Amino acid sequence: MKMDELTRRDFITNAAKSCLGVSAILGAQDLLGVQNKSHIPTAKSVIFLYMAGGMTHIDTFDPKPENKDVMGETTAINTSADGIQLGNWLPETAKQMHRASLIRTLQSNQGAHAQANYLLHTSYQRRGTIVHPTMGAWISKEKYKLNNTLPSNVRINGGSDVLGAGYLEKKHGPLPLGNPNAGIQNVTMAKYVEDDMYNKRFDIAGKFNSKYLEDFPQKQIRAYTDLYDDAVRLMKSSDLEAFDLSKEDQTVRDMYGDNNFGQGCLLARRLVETGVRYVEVQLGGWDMHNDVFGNMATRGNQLDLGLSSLLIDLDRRGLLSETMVVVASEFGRSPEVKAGRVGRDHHPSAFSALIAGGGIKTGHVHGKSDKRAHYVDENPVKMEDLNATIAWAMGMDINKTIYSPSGRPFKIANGGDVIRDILA
Amino acid sequence: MRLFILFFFWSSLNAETIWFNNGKSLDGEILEANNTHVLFARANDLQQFRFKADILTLDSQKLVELYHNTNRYGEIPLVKTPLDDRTLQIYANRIDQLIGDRLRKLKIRPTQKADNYTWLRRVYLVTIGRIPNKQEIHDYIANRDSKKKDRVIRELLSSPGHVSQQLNWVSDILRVKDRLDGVNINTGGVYREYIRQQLHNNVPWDIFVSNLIDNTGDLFGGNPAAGYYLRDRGMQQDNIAHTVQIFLGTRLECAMCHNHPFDRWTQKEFYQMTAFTSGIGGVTIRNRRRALQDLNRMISRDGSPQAGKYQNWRNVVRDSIQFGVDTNGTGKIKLTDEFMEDDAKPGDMLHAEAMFTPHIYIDPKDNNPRSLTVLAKWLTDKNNPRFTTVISNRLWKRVFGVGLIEPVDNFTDSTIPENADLMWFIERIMVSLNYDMREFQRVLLNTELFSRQSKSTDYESLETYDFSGPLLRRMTGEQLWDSLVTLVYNDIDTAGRVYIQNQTATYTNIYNKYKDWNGTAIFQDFVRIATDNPDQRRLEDSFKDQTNKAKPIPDRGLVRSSYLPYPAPGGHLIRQFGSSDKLAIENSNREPNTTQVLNLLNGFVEKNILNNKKADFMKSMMDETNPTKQLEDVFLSTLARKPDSAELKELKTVLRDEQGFKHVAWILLNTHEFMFIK
Repeated sequence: MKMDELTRRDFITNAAKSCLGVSAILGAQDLLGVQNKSHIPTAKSVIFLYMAGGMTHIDTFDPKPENKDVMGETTAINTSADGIQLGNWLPETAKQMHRASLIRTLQSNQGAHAQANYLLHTSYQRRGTIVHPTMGAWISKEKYKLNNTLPSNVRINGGSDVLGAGYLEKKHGPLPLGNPNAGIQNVTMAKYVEDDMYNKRFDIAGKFNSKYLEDFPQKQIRAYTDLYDDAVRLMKSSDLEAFDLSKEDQTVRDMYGDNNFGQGCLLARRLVETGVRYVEVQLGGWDMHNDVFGNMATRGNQLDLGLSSLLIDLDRRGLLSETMVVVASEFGRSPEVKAGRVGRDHHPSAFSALIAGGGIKTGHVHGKSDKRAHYVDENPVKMEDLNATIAWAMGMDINKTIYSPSGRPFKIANGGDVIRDILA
Repeated sequence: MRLFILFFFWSSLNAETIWFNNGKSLDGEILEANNTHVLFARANDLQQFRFKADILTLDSQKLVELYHNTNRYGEIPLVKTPLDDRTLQIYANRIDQLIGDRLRKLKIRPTQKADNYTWLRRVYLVTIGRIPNKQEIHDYIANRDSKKKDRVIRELLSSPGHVSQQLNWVSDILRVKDRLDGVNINTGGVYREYIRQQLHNNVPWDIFVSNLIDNTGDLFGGNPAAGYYLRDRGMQQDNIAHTVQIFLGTRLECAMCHNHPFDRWTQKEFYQMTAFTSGIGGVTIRNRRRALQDLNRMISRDGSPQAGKYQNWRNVVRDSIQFGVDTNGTGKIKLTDEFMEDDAKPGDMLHAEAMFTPHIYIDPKDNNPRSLTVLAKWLTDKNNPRFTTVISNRLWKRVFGVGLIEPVDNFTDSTIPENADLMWFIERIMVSLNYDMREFQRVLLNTELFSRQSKSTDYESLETYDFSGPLLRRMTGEQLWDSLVTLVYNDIDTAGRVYIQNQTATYTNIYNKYKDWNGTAIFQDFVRIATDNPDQRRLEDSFKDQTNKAKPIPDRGLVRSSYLPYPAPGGHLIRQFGSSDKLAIENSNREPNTTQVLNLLNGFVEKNILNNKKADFMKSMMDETNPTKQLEDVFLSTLARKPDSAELKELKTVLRDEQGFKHVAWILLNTHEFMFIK
């Protein structure tokens, strides 16, 4: 039985029917001793904007205008949300703050990129003996597909060392799109082949494959027979258009910004519209050990245009209420600006994230950092808690224990607590 | 000769009488024994019994332990390698006999003999990880030599292609990658090339393993084996867990944090094992620290706009000179708060002790414990009950697709193979060959089992595979890539298609220059380089190997997978087909997904082969004017066989087209037959 095709409620319904001969009423669940873990999800999809390298928090989401020596060249600007200020590098986002909320008190024990990135994406500490699944892979596994032709988990931009399915089946790993402008690789047939000939080729290959399957009637062969059919269906599917940015109006494309991140955000919106559950868009270059303000001018601008456009666009299409948008990074950057190279260094003791849509409050700030944005004053938040909140909003069971193939017990967000305060 | 063979078999017979606690006794022979179970054959009817050792009297238990522990394989004489024909045949025949015995017991028929074409394709893919090209097929089929099978096997095993294939296999297990954790430069290249060299020299497995465990010296200064420890830098416990999993097939990692829930290892025993590698620390050379600290200080004091650049340069120098093993192993470990069981407490100093036989330990009074050497010797000891089993089983799996014991690295005390006689026999072959990996594979490849057709139906479980024939399996990502590239460059294994990045040379140069300098001197050199070359951003540019510049080769992305980055980039065909990301042991998989199929349908095949006039496959097709022969060549080059009449009929329609053979090639490359090894 394929669990991902049934919701938990259906499963319990069926179980109740078969075990007790009763129809599923709330009581039946209690009779089975199953705690009512199902709750109404507020998000159908997640767009995770991953700022790779350690995004500075003071210059973006947690400015301290009273404290000039940590601000450096950055100034604080007012936003459309009362009482919230952002760094001056994000003017467009500032105009959209009434759609989003901030977490200013993330903290972790990992100050190195690989380990901190791992913790952010999997909620676990990186070890050598097992690889944990990322949130995208969990969502792919736990949530039924909204669109049968498209994958549930897509990653746009990002390097070759991909964290993905971990110990789950590899099909839950992200479909990697290196360049949002290029779309899915290899979906168009070669130019010299006519449609007719393509079909003929395909038929003959199919016949040879049937013969092979007769000689070797095995699951592993059949899986590939099915896959070939799926692939051709995908090639001919209109859903593929979701990956084609040229179908989008040029004014919209311009709004997002002419760079891989901005276009990646646009692509993420299109994919979510077509039913993809989890899309991660990466923006790198945040490891600003040198020339932080020069770099913020470019990087900040890319983030600003992409993020603000995404919020506007999702909202006007009525998608923001059920799409959660998260902007997060593996750690923040030091409030102290290093002389000479004018840079900020790794800083995991207090940093920020932005979160919007999918059941999140608007115009709210969770947590308070100290006056230098160096430490957490109130309401610290762990990476596990951030992930627990995302999983909870998606209607996933963060309390159940899952066993890896080697028999080790895990939880989706490693026991993190849902940040109830930012749920609407 | 005959005497030797007789000895070989007779020395295995241990005619004993064993006594049980209830007073009964049995005459017969001990066939197999491990720490808790015994497999015993009763003398009068050869009926086999399997029981727990603790129902025996203490004396009999000692007898069993004696059989199991001492002289387990110590008395097996070594044979001369390469094996002569007779010994080869005797070994191979005995394997087939034992397979046959088991099949008869299960009442299963062996599969039929495979035809020459099937056999050749399989032997190429298993030994050198690529399909044969049509010339190689012609040569083999036309060869009249009655011993041609073994000849081909020996040629392939001693070819560079085999080294490539084995490197991929070993790297999957050892998780060899280019960026060995947490560093800014490619420190893995020197480690990978070291392993390649070891494989090229056919270093016996026990020595290969010993070198990985017991080594000292600087990574770029003559000790590339330090890469084994660098891979798990900062994770000493994970490293010992990996060592025990890879080489002894035993899972310790649960015991890292508490007594193992499924197996008998305690947390204390885990830490006693960890103690063997104490002293390695962060795999850094202590002598280098001062210079690097001083260099750091000088750079942070430097207020110039170059400071940012110097930071990057410092990283490069640091990662070139600081890595290595500068200890022989202290053999002791202080327990931290992570220790939670009752048989010791945080703050205790534990000394290294082996978790099972042969029983060795580090004496606390020993001034020069050399625990790394002790660990290496214990690990690779012939009498180590799991070392020989694991490698024999792994290689068996390499050749036939399934191990005699599955999974290959999760042995517990109750693990007894389905075909115990066979497992025991191939272990003894391994010992007699002195752990010569190539000769061992040669024996397996010469069996009738390997010459048979693959099992046609689904197996119930890997653990109970019957070996009526080899396992039908899909090519690995690397094998698929290497096979496809062979169609573009037939000479994929010649020196002309070897592409090793010269980064290792660059970092070795940096190492050689700065290793004995102090921080101030290095900093001043930075300033000098920056002043002389104001536009130079990378330190490496001053250290590139000018004398031995690798000649640029065309299409340097189209080389053997063992020369591409480790891991291959995400999105690459190799990764799409499940090659490991090198994050976990044997993290490769053969699971199907859409991107694989799309790539074969519309990607690599069209772009690099069919639309590439320079591809060797295309050139040889264009050269062939006879259409029948051309069609035959397409089949041979892709599926390593000739077409049958039914297939010819099917293909008539596409062949009418002017680009007919292209269509045929596309079709064949998209068949299951291409990607599976039957």
